[in-house]
Amino acid sequence: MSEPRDRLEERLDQAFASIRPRRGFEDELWTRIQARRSPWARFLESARRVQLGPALGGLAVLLVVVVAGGLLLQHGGPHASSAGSAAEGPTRTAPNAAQPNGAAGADVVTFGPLPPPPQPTGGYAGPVNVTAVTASVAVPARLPVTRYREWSAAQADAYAAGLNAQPAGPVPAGALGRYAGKDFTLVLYPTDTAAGTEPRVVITPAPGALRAAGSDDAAITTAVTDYLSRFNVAPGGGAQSPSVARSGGQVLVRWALSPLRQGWLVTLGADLSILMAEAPLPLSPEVAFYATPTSTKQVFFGGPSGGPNVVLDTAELVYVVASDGTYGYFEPAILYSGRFTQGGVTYQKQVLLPAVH
Amino acid sequence: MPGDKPPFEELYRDFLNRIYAYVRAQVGSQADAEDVTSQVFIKAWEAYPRYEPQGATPASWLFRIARNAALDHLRAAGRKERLARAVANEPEALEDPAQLAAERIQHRALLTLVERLPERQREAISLRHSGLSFAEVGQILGSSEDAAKMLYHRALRVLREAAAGEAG
Repeated sequence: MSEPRDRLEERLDQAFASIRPRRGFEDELWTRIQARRSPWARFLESARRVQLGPALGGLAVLLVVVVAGGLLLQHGGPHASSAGSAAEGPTRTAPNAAQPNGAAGADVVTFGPLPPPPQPTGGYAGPVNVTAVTASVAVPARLPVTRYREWSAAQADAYAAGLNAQPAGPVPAGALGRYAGKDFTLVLYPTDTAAGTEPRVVITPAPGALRAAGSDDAAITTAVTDYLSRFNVAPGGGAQSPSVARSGGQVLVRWALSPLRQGWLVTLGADLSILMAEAPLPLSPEVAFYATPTSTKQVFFGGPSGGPNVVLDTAELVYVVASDGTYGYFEPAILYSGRFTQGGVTYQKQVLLPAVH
Repeated sequence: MPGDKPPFEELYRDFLNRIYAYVRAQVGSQADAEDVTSQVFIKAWEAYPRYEPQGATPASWLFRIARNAALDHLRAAGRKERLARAVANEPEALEDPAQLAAERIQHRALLTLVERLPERQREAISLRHSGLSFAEVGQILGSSEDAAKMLYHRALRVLREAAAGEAG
């Protein structure tokens, strides 16, 4: 702004400089953005934090066991089919069908075709020429897939009505609805494959609506659990032990749901009042098992794409959230990644391929 | 610096206040400004892997997202209703009551005049006083630098007349 400025322009500068978001908004929004990171990004970051990078390939198989075990414990066994009707429930593969990896087909129960895993939102999004794939992951012959029926806007309305909350616009982009209760607002979201999140509710209490009775972790956890219970979304059904972290004057309470799922996340202010709570919505999941293909790497070499050359030198088995609109799925996928440099900038290319078929 | 892509958090911390101020001047109320600002940074977060610093400065990239989000918001709910609500008066969360001084009241009054400007004039004033160059303002509004400058000065003239009218 090098031109001479008059008094009105100076006043405008001052007026705009005087506009600031309310205290706490910056960290609340950053927490929400962080919460939208995809499960694999969160996992990779946590892995980097503990410098597991080189060991990730080997860890992936273990991870599958942990995830699969967690899912089974959570949902009652490999053939549990809690929600599907006979017409829409899991289908059994023909006993004599030939299976990859030498697996017999008799025990493979599926939901039918799965939606493709969403492509990662991190890293370089353009086309690339894959010149080599030097990484691979060993996977079991079968992997579990969990399915749940998507939440509808009518269900969201009913959930809010059960809490004496009324629709209150404007509804944020992608949300099922926004509702106001006596001392809170709710925003309900369906599965968000880009963010890697299952259906969830974001609760914003009125300022000072609820404070923890004490500053120790136990008192904070109790207050937060009680608060979430009011909305029928208290941690349970596979939630891991809560972690309480203090950062920048705020307190973050989190219950992870599995290594790759966000779970519950509650932010408290410096005065221990609850600022925001995000929780998975109740689901009726069912589990089926899918066979894994012998190799997926050949799909990368379909011909030149016109993009930069890249070698995919990392591969990991991850669980991602996918949706076909009617059902959401937690399905296994293999995340391939590699780095390349273009115009002096180093990018990471990530590609997800289904781990089952 | 062309080709230099900072971590997203750096961008977020650097630009949050300016984006919020710009959005607030467009949508009028604190609650709406928070909603729209949240959408801006969530969209920016999702699009950041595809952002090419060579194509646009971080400021013009972010303010373009902010402008689109604010326009979507205004179209969705109807500007008149919101403006009436804002003018009729939105409770302001004051961090420090001692700051409720004459200068602050004048800022509010001036920003209310900015909110009443025609859309493109309001955008020109808001973008310019959010720290953007005329070239960046033109880039975001889809016009040349000179056209952005003319639009801005026309808006200043309207504001000056409106301020004189209020004072009279």
